Amino acid sequence: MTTTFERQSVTSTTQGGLNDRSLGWLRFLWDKATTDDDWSDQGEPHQWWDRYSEPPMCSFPRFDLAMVGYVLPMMLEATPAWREGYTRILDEIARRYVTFWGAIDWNTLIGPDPGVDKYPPEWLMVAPEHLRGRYSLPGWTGNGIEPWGLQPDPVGCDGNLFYRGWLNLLLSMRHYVSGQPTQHVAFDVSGYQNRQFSWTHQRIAQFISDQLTARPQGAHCENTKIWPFCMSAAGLGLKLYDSLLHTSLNEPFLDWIAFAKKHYMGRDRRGRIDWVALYYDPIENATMAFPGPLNAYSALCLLHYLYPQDPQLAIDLYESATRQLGWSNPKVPVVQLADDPQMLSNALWMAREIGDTTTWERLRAVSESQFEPRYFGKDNSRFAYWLDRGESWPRGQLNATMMMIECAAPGAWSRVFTSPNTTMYTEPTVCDIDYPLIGIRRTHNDIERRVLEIDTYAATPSRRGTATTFTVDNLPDRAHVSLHIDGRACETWRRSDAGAVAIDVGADTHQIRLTYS
Amino acid sequence: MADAALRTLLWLLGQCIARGSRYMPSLRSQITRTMTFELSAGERVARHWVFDAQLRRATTYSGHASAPDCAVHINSSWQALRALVSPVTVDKIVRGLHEGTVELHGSAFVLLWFHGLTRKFVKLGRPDGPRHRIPGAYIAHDPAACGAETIVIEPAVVRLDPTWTGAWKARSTLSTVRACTDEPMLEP
Repeated sequence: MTTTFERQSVTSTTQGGLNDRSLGWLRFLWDKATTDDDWSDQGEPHQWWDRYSEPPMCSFPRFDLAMVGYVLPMMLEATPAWREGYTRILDEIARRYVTFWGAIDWNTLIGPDPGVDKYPPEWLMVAPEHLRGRYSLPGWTGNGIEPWGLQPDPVGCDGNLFYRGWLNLLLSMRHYVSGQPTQHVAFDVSGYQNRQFSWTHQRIAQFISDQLTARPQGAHCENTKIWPFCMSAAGLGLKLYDSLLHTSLNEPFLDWIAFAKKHYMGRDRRGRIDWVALYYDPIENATMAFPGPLNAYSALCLLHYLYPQDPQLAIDLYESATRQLGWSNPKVPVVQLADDPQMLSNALWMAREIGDTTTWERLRAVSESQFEPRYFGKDNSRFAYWLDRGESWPRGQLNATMMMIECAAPGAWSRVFTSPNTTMYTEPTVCDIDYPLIGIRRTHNDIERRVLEIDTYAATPSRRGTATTFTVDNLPDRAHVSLHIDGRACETWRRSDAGAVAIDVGADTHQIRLTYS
Repeated sequence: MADAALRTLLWLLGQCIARGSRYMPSLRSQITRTMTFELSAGERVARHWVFDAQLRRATTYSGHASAPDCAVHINSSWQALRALVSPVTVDKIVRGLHEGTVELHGSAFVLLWFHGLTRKFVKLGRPDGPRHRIPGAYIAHDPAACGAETIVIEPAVVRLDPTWTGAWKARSTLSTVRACTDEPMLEP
């Protein structure tokens, strides 16, 4: 395994397609998603699912599931005509999400936290100063405590917003990527003592929205903490749901933003944000905010979720955070106060989004030199940031955000939520492709000229050249078709249906041009 | 002059924390690891604290520790004094880190934890947060807050079902549980 920089210089674009890093990460995502493992109470997830990062609040494998798919709707900008591979990955993620291990915190961290005075000092720092040593830390969900009682359904409960909020976001992304309106399809969620609870995507989204309407402070995650971070993710899931289904479930979240600006953050005399709550406990009436510049971390974790919903607030938070940490100041070195690469990756992503080249270049230099970007696996066909820690697998949560930088042009993440490309569902589409034998780097539908362009590559280099077949459907019925591969006219296609053709090709780098009329 | 003043301040903080660890539950409950913390300034002032997790006690000594788990060195006693008596101590320390006048060996979170201990005795400034009670608290279940859904609620419990052995086994692998056993863990 070697560190490889020469294969990478620019990030993905719609015109150029997915870059090598994105393709390598996609290949590893495929491995993770399609390799069977047991997420029941009798098993244990494969160790490559990240249940280590961001303790104590995010060190559960669900957070890997929740975040790892973010790149997939963004990748659609480069490959709008190939979606089935991404859909398969999201299906495998969603299948795990609703298992015992998906909700292991709500299902097993029952009752009062027995470790309040046993956690390491570093962890005690995420409790409000006056409560340290006698207060349940973030991550201890405390299902079963008074006054809430035992609520066995991980979705249908007063707390646990971070479960259903990200589930809704995941299902909304799955809807967008697949184009399949499955919001009324019932599925089971595994709860306390393995009891199964039936839900639909529509009911979850409506339930979240109703809770936000009734609870202006926001819904709880752990008993009893309200996190701007989780609220923002829940709001984002609702926003995508609204964009796809023309509902207005996100509206109460916008009201919550107004509430949060007033109660969960403060500004200095110059109007700059100078503190943000990490969380608020309504029973203790306690706000957790890191002191001094470390407070920036509470702001950085919100950026991905708020930027598509309230761009100006996200920019204010970003500017506040990078100023406090000195990351935007070229006169001082980039100091990472916390041993938490995810915060730097969040800032790096935002710097790129808003064109803050000074901060981008400073932070990018850090990520390239310290986050150990490298290809790995058979034929070096997988890619991830390894963090130079000698671990067996790359961290899912960090890579989920770092790869958002690699996989699409700036603005792609916001466009997923504000202007999703729903016309792609009716345009010519690549399907039945034998991924990962052959992969898709780029597709482009030129509707006016009636041309579908497809750039392929050998996703499994050791099988390069192997003959394979894929289909293009959504073509006009009985369309006249001509095929060019690498600039040469080809007859290696046949009509497989009235509106579909099958194309034979070798698994390799090809530029395929399908003209139909 | 600054050296003497800083020595006195550190001695005072040292005694407060050490004596407080004998009888203050809110301080003892935070001594969860056996570790050494050192604070030094210039070339002549240093003090360290030894925290004993078994006894939940702290002791303090003048001078450098042989192998501190977390050590902060500030360029001058004057700078250290200004930082320690400021209501924005953390801001000043971080500014020093940026300017290269403060060196930190170890976790910034441990430094903040120690700073929190000192604030039990000398509380300068106040934690960030709203200066008012936040309205609209939801502190008891309300069926009207669930839209068309009904939440299943059973009597409160204090621990995971003892007979659910699979869940106990799975839970034991979680960082949240392992962190209480003194196993080294990642920072937040």
